[in-house]
Amino acid sequence: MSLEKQDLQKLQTPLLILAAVIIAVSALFGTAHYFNKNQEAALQNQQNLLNAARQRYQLSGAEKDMIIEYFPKYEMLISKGFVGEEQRIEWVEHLREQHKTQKLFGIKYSISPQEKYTPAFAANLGGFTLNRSVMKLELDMLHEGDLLQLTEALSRENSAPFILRDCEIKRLNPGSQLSNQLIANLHAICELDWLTLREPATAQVSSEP
Amino acid sequence: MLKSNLNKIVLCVTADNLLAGVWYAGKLQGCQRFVNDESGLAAFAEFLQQYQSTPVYLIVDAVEEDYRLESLPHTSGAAKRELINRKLNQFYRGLYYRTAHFISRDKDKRRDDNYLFAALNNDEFIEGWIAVIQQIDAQLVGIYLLPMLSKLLIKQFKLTAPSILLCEQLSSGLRQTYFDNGRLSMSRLVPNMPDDTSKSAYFYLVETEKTRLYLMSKRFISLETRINLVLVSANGSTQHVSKAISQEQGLDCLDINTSEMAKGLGLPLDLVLQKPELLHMQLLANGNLVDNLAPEKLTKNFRFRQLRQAIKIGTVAVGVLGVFASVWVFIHGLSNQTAYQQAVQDTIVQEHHYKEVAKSYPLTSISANDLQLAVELDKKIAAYPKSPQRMMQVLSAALEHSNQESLDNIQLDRLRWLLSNDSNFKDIDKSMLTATSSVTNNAQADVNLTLPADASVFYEIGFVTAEIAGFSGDYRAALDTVNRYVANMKADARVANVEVLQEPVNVSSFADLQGSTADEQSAQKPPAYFKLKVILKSVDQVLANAGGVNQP
Repeated sequence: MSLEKQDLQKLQTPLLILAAVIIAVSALFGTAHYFNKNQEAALQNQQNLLNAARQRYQLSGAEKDMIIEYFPKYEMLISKGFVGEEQRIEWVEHLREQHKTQKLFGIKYSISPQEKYTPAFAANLGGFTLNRSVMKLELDMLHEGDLLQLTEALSRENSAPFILRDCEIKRLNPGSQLSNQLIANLHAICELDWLTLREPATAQVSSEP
Repeated sequence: MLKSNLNKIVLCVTADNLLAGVWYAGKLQGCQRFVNDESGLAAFAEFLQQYQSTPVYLIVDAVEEDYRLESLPHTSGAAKRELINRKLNQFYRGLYYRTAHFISRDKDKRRDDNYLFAALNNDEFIEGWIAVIQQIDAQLVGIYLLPMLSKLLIKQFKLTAPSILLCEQLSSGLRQTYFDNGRLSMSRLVPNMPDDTSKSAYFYLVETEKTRLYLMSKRFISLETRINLVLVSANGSTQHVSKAISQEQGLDCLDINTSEMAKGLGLPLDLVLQKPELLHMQLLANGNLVDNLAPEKLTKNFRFRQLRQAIKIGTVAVGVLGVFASVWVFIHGLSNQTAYQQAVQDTIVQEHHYKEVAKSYPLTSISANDLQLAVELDKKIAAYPKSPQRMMQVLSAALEHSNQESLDNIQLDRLRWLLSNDSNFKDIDKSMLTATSSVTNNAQADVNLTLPADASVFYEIGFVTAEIAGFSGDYRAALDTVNRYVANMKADARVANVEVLQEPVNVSSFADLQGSTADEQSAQKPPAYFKLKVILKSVDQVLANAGGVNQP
């Protein structure tokens, strides 16, 4: 059917009403849909929170046991410098002390800036951040035992943990026998990672006075 | 709107009058005849004025009609419309009321389409009625030929004979319609029927013969074609005619009484007797539409109204459905809101319970899991070797192996110890390269070792550079010493793998070998360096293996 201008004018009003109804209905449906989606999302979020709260309450007995078991150990970690800020002065002092007590020839050290560390053996760190500072040690030795004594002393129970990654021990005079005099026969270059854990931000804030 | 949709007006126009019937929901409400003169037209205008919004269907029952059967090449869409229009213009140029009725498609040859083209040759007798309809602005749905509705009667009576000549007594006269295999082929109206019923049989016979001759001339039938004559009447008045024709002429003749059918359709029998065309009008009122002869211009008013109604219905439907859908979604949202508020309350209760329990905990800002994690991590780090002590012990033990000859002549010059998860780590010893520049590296150095791939497991790897002290140039003895040293190491349970990266002399056929037979007498003897790569098993693995051996 071919429509003329006059016919279109006659259809104008019903078409306008239809358009208005479509717009109004779309707006109404859109508002209802938006409201429903918002409520759905809020409900889902709240359900998750509720489940977490339920689980937390149900496991509160086990949590208490864990806190009682691990909190003293955790405090030990803080005191030995594994958790918290790096204690570089203590490290250097410790090295100096070892130099004196072990009667070593001298230890050259260099510590690189601290960086974030994500090793494979610590994939799950919870809320913590693991940092490392790479330390390079260089020392002359009478014999290889000097190095063993030094690393043993550094890794004693109350000191911050580290991972000795690389050690190169070289004879200072290859092809000749070791001297019986108190002179350096060997030279060692070692690299180790000093590791520190940074507490979660919320814990740091709450622990501040 | 609903009432006007249920209401229908069906008109039947003959040469001298118009029969108008009003139907509501398929039931005849009343009918009225208007004579084709000025007063009749005026009365019709007055009648139609009452039903301005009611759809009007118009049946034409007149002598001035033409039928043509034609085959057209099979087409579709716009091409089909154009072809049919061309044929209509060819057959009925200048005629206003015309149509093409699709009959069938040939099953052989070009598979052409067969059409019945029909038209009103003279439309003068309906002009007045059409003028009134247009003047009133009535909703004309279409104009239909009465014989086309007769085809519906054939279906209703379930007549299946291949050649049927349907004879109907109408107000306008005797109408004979020929059906070939149930398809309308031709129809003719004989206006003057004899009043004397005794002459009816002869009249029928004469008119049937005329029709038969016409059909033969048009090649619709042949001389041998047996035509089934079907006489239709509402009161059985054609029964004796049927008998007479059957007995005297030997024609197949069937008499059908439409009174039962009229009763079934709800038509008063007395009315059907007076106005037999009411049967056709009823069929149309029941929604049995046939091909329309009216041009678009005449039916535009009705179709435009339909369009407006469709828009209105659409508007209401969209509105109602939209509101229902919105309400449903909103109710769903409210239900979610209620559930959310309940969940908030439950969460508060659970947190309150937890806080009550947590009062007895030691004060800490770190979660229990994190506390455990930090402690476990410290333990893990503490478990890694903190010095090359184990590597030194392995190297030393291999030198002091009691069952072998002394290996005192081996002097270790360099040890590089690594803690790495890459068992294929390559060591670069610059001093070694300088000292052994004349010796080509052994191909064994390129052999890759496959150890369990676990990124969290660290292997202790040692690269040992050593020399044969007091080397006299006896390469065989030097090689033997190195091999024994390697064998001693391999025998150690702590060792996972030992690899000779460089031998004192490279005896490979693929490498250069240079030297002097006077080496043994020479005061300055060349050094006999060799290099080994040693990988130790992890402490856990050693302990596990030791346990496995001890088991019976």
